Amino acid sequence: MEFAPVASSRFCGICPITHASASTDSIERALGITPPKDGVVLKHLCNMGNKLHSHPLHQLLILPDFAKDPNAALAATVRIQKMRKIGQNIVDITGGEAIHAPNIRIGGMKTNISEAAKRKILESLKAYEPIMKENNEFLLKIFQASDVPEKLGVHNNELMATDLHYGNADLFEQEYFYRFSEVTPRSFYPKPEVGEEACGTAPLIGGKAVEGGPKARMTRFAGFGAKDCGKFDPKGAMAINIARVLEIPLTLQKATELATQLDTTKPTMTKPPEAGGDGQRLGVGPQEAPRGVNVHVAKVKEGKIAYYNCLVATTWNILTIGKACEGQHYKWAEHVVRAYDPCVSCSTHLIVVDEDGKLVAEDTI
Amino acid sequence: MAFGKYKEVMALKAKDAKVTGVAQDGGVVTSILCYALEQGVIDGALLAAKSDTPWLPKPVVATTKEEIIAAAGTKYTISPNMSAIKSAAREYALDKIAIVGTPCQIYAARKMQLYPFGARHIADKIALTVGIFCTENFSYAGLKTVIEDHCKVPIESVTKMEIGKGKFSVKGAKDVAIPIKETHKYEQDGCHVCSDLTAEFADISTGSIGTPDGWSTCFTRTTKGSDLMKKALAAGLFEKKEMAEFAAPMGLAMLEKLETGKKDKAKKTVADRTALGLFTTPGIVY
Repeated sequence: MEFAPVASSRFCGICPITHASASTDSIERALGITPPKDGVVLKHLCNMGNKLHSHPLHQLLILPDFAKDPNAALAATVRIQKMRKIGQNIVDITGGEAIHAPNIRIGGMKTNISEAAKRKILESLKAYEPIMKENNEFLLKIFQASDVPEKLGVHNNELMATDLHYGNADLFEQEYFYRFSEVTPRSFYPKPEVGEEACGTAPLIGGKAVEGGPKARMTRFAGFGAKDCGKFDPKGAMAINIARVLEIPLTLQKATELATQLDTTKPTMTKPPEAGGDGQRLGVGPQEAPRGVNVHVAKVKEGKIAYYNCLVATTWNILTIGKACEGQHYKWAEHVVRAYDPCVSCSTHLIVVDEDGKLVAEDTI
Repeated sequence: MAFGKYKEVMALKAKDAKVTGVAQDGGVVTSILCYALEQGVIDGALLAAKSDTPWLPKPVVATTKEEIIAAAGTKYTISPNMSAIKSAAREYALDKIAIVGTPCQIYAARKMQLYPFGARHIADKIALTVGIFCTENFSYAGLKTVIEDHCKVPIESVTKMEIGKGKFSVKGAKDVAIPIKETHKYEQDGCHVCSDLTAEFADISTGSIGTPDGWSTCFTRTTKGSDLMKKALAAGLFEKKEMAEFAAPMGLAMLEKLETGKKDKAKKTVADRTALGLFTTPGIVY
């Protein structure tokens, strides 16, 4: 069973922390074990560090859509990289590695951090704040100045969020899981040939596609709405970009709270029973990943995985992304996709240079 | 060139009584680390500290002067200090790490700096390397056999061990010295293909060979090591003597003799292994 978080964290190089956390949380629930308090705090802090890097990274990838002044874009890029560095450093310290953190274990976190490391994290979070403020002001301004249609990406699909920061398995089970179903893309999409091109599955809540991510979290838990969106529709794609900006200060605040409350002298691991698990109990681990909800579910029998399923953030969101692209000129479709997930290949920015490094072509695909 | 590249060589003796009371010889490693920590050159060090098992060292990340002093003294079995470097860079969040190690461990640190595969954001945090002279090392079982079967004393009664003047000696409940040649069969096999006695790739390297009891021979090899040592000397940390004060067979003549012996032995071992058709790392001897 120890291999499940190691393997599933390799789904993604940007959000490995949330996958490892969802995996360990689901297995812990299947085994019926609870990590020590400081193990939970440290794991949450690790996830906040990941979000403090991942949200700015997302902003870097949408920057060419909005920042038309190259000097301003360069300054924003520098700020973003500084923010990412701090976020990644927090994951390095708490998780053991920023990319695929080996300290995230079934039963908590492999090791606590030193008091000096805790102080460093708190200092770095202080340093993060002014950079973030400047960057957020800049981004909100260029979003409002853009010519993106005000109602781009508006849809009426349900928003799915379990927590503002980490993920709440109890809430997920009470509000979503009993309505959950999973169908093949071929049966979900109106045209079979579209579904046949898709890979993965179509996870549904109440028989319909949902949206997870910053807009869903902020709407449900932080009162996000029309007042925050300026000219844009709070149900649209630009609202996701805005919610992401507004979520960063809350993540920063949460990270500071967690780091402050961490007792570096206490244990962080509850050793899981080597032959634990009855093979019947289904453990559910929903995780509020930067771009959506990661849901890992597991059954464990005598220390081995008996059943495992992962519904990653974009597997949920991709169904809504398609819907949100409808109703506007096709040139805006890529803006919709990028608002949800820059990892999707169709949202990639492309440049072609010749042997001398001269720009031959530039496009956003 | 004998002793590898270096900038200065000198004989040193720490002045701080807290250090000399616990140090193996001149207290160079302990004193320079405490000084580097005070000056902010390092924010922690990887050291071989005492464990619950007598004379079995364990790698520790020391971040205070007290922890550095507590780890003083030579342990004649290997302490895998490099294994703690990731912990130092991660859970301890150190940015300026000092590594104290045998010549082979200094190799590991330098290799990590040259090609840091699997060591992301770790090798760039190595701020200082302090190498310890090493003729050879024992496995723990070997060391225990030497002490309990050859010296005939319980290992837990030993308070200090030394190698010098052709003897392996233990001090404690009973002081015993045996000819060093009795211990050769317990040496780690890997030591026999090692050409480096004086930690030629460290910033600073030091050991007892060549200087009288209570003193250490010390090389500064890099600009970083040399600058740090100059400041430490200016701050009055050490008594200093020129190596020329120790005439042959002591002094550098003795060190060169032993170093040449180690290099020749390594060459011979490699030749023997090659003749048997065994693999030997290319360029391991020089």
